[in-house]
Amino acid sequence: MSSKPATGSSVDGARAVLEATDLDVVYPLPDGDLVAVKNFQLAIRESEFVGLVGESGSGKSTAALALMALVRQPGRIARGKVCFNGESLLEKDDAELRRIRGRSIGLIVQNSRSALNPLVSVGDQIANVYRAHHDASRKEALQLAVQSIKAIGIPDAQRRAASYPHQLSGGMAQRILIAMATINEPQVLIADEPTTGLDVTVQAQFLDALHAKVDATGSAVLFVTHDLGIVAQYCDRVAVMYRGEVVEEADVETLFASPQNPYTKRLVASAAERRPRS
Amino acid sequence: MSSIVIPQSTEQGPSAAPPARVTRRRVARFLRQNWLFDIGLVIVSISLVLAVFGPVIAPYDPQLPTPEVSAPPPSLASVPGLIVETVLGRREHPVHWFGTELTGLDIFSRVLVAPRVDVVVGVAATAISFVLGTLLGLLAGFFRTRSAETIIRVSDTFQSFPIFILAMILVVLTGRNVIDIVLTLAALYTPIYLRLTCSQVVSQVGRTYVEAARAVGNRELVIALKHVLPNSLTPALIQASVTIGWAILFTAGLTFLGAGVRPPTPEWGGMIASGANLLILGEWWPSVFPGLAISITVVGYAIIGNVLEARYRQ
Amino acid sequence: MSTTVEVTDLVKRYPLTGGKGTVHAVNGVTFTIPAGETLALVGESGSGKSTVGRCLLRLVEPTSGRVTFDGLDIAQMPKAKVRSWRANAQMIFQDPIDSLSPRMRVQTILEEPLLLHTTLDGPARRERMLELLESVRLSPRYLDRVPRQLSGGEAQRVAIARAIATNPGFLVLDEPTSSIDLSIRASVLSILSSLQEKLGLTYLLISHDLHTVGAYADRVAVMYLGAIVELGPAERVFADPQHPYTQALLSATLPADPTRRSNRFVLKGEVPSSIQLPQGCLFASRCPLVMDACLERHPRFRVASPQHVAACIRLDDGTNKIPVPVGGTAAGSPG
Repeated sequence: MSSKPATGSSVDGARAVLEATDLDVVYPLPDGDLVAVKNFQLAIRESEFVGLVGESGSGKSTAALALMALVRQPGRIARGKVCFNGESLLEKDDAELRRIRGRSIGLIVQNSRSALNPLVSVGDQIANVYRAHHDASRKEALQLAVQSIKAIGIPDAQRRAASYPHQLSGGMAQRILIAMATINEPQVLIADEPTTGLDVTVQAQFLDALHAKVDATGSAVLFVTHDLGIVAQYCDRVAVMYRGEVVEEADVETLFASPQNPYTKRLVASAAERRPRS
Repeated sequence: MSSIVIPQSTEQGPSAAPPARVTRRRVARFLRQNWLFDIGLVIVSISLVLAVFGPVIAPYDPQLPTPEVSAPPPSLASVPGLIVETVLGRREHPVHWFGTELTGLDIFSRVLVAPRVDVVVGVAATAISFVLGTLLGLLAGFFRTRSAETIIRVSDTFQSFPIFILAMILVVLTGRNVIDIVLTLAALYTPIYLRLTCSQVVSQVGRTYVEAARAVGNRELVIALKHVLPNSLTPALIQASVTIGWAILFTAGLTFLGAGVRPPTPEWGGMIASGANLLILGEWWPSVFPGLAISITVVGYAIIGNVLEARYRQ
Repeated sequence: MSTTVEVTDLVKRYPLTGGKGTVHAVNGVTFTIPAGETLALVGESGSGKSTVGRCLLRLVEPTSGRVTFDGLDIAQMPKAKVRSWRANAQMIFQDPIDSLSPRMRVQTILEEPLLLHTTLDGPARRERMLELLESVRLSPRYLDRVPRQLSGGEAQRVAIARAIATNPGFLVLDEPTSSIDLSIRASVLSILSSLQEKLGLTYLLISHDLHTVGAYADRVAVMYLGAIVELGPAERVFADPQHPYTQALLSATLPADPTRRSNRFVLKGEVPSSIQLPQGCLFASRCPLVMDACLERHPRFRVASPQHVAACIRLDDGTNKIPVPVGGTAAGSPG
């Protein structure tokens, strides 16, 4: 499984907005270090929709978060570079990173219940994300929040903005995360398995809202998932991870039509075989 | 169903190794890395050895007065020489390592023999309350019937009393022999195990393997004992060591206050009590040595409990 | 030895604590699974599909209805007899590792059903366990392992071995591969498939993954809010879905093939609560084709083609298909 990743076609020279080079993420264990991510290489270009695919334990979430220079304790980035618009993120201090995160790079996590503060209304939470990076009054920011809730297809936005996370259904709460992550119109959006665990019809609502939003703002997206259906229908390019390494990277048509790596072949084969015959 | 070609699979799951070898290695590594635990283990082992072999090891009969009355312990400088003499068998009378008290009783021997009461009471009371408490907790947590709720309420009420006062009352009421003290303490500690086990059981009852055990066709009681109980014992087991420490302390405390075992049975608390009057005279050894013994012993049991708990919380 | 399963008007209601109402988990479900076939129960969360599976095995007590296995009514059977009956019907659970007792070795896990339901002696049991492991393609080495040392796929295979230990005629497969890695699912499903052929098993496959269902089921029942909205042969239901919900479900299921851009239809609105069931059609609140008549009474089944029925009033005049513009997503009804 250590073959070199096959690079995809159609590299059109557009510059990379967010790029990781030779990245290693390591977790210390009593027996020795666990290398969760090894030689991670990925470039995300402007307005690209990139998929990061892998099964549990492949390191895809760890890699995605590392692209924001975020590593869960007690892990650390042992090697490599992460560049945002050409500047190295790993060399920045906390204050600079805080300016970038939430503003230029947005994050949507898997579990809305853990991302949302149960004591604050969702409208205020979205507004706070805005106010953290812009000079605006609470009223102005709240107005923007209500608009963003409307934009993701939630009806009765004014009333919804005043409700608390536990009053929302899972799918709705998940869509609120889209609003929170995109209120500052980031250049890149990192979505870490945001639809895993959602029903298909709810997932469809989420993807619809996400797609509409990034179409409007032109954000690039890194979508981490194990669902090849999402990858096939939404992604321009996709990187496949196995045991911490990227084993193949290609544009989406090429990956499905002619996968090179044995693991990718197996993934594509197992997903393709069981199509509902409609 | 149509048949599908299966590709070769290599899952990214846990690697399997035979259980026994791995467990032994893990235990060895744990002992190596946790020196504090090792200290506790040594202390506990010594206390248990003394509880069984104390009278054999003790140089003097703990209840027989010796001619050396109120003799202080040997000075630190003379200790090495005395050890050599003892080992070489040149002593006619064994050294009074901890001195003697008013009537000439050898304190060292009494300290060594006291665990027969203190530690045995501690272990016995904990064992009884452990068994009773976990079984009741299992039944209460698994079956959740009205009577189960009542048991939990009663046990909660029990726990809200100041234990020491309750213990004293019960002991005085039931009599002051070792068995009564053991049973009293067991009754007082049962609610602790009941609670611990009950909450663990409640968290297990919703797990898939319980439903699966039902689907296989097991009786409910069998499911509770065979499947749920083994997975609900960990908090209780960790608590056991700490409880033994408490029980030892209680026994000593009760005896110290005069409500525990009757003299002249050697018992740490009683020794501290009888030695307390002598402190004014400058004779510190009759109370300090048993005091040290009890502190170190209880700390030893507590260390084990705390280290295990810290590890379990991870 | 395969069993014919007939379910008639199965109902399950859960009272809420504090008398705040009841959860209508299953609302009158009727279907038949012919011997040796696989019926898939498809639906999203709140559809009641898992509850139906559990009612069939009396892991959950049905509120009312009939469940017969080869004519024997299980729903009315006294509890004491249910236990010994369990040798005939077993279940595979969604979380494979959690369905095995954490501290038990595989050997003990496999031996349990044999001890409970057979009179085999020690050596015969051992032989049977080895046989079972072989039928799920696990080596005898696995007997000494504990669940912690198993991967998801291995654990599920142990669970399958346990389930077939007493030669049952019927298995409920409750999302058997959702918690298993993608690349391993096919092998587990193929084992289930070949066991069905070899042992003549009848399956109830509960799943939210239409991909799996399409490849493995003979017939499909689509559930919504505790009721079946469409029932028919798998190929027909997928090729020509009649009920608007089935159509929405299929369109929301993304094909893993970039060349097939599905014509997407996105449902608006949220799944209503199962505590206050609407009076008319349960799907009315989200249906893009809703009309006034839908709110009046619960639609009965209409026949679309032989063996293929759907509970939608619009089948009467053939207007039950959701229009989707070519090459794009369509907006749903105001939700």
